[in-house]
Amino acid sequence: MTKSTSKKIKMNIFYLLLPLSIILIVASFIFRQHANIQLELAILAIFIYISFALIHHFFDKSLSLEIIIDYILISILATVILLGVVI
Amino acid sequence: MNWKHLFLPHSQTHKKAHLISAPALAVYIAIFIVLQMGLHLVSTVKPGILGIASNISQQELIKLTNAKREALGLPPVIEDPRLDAAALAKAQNMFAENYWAHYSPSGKDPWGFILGAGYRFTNAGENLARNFYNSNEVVDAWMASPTHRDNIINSKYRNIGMAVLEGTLNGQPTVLVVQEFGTPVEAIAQIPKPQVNQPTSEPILLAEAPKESTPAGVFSASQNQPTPLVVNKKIASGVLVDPYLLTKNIGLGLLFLVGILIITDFFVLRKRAVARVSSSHFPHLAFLAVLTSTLINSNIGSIL
Repeated sequence: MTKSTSKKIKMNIFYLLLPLSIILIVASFIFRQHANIQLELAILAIFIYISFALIHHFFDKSLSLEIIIDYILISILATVILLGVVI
Repeated sequence: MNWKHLFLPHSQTHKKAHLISAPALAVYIAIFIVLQMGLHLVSTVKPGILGIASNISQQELIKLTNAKREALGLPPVIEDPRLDAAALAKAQNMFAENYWAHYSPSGKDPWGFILGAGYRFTNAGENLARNFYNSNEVVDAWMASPTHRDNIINSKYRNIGMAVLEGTLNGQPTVLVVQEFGTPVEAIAQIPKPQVNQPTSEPILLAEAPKESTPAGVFSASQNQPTPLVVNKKIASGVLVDPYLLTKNIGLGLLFLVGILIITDFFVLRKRAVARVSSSHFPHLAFLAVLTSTLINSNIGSIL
């Protein structure tokens, strides 16, 4: 893969992340009366978050155990908080 | 220890602030898990301490229901004491038999309570709710659900009955709301025999019988005689801690702390013109924003 291609992929990932985040925030408001849907949205957000992070750092050639642990810990914190509140 | 490094990246190594380092995140996770376990333990050992301070009024619920009907050009439903009694009997039964469903484990259906209160009907419906904080939230939740909304705006219904009852369900203090709708037989002039039709939508159910006596001023489901409905009452025994609000506020506090520190980290590194090989700021912030929105929009109340 050429440098310009990997740079394009990195930029596209960030461009996608912003509208996706906005969609999820709006959806969490629309479905505020439905705990099941909110939980599913949160799980989707966790999945997108980790996927985007891995892809971004892979193309950035900065993927390391320390960075993976960072993302995983924040995902676990999110999961624990959500399980205590949404369910 | 340099307290500045708790909140800011290290001045020489430019490592993340201690409060958003991996060990700190692990500590936050542990704190939250311990909090959940502690609340669960307290609810098992001392059930009277945890509870929800509800501000739900029977009259307010009826007023809000009629407001929704009037907004659609429908006539208001009139409160009927028989339906009030049926709603109360239903709520008491839900606590007594400890179930959250339309039909009791012993086979009682919602229509039996209405008929048992002396209200003969041609159409009837029931909505249930639990653990909401105020009357507006209850009605908004019903209106957001198609089947419950159908009950509220059903043009066939003439009467309404409400019950708001406090008790314990599955070891947790719970506030139940039962809403009954009906069209009396006498409203249909030409029917020779009362015809009992099936309800037009599914009722909702929630209940658990309090096992111990409740403090003065709080009406319990264990009293056999008709009791006034509980309105605007808090659980008066001991210290009241709302586990849901406590969890939510601590969660929001943690997310806010982590978010602020990540933003600070971004701007400090930018000012220092330092490129650090670490996880990116933007995905963290986007994810935390989604999570915060989910938490803010979450609601402990449920309808069935």
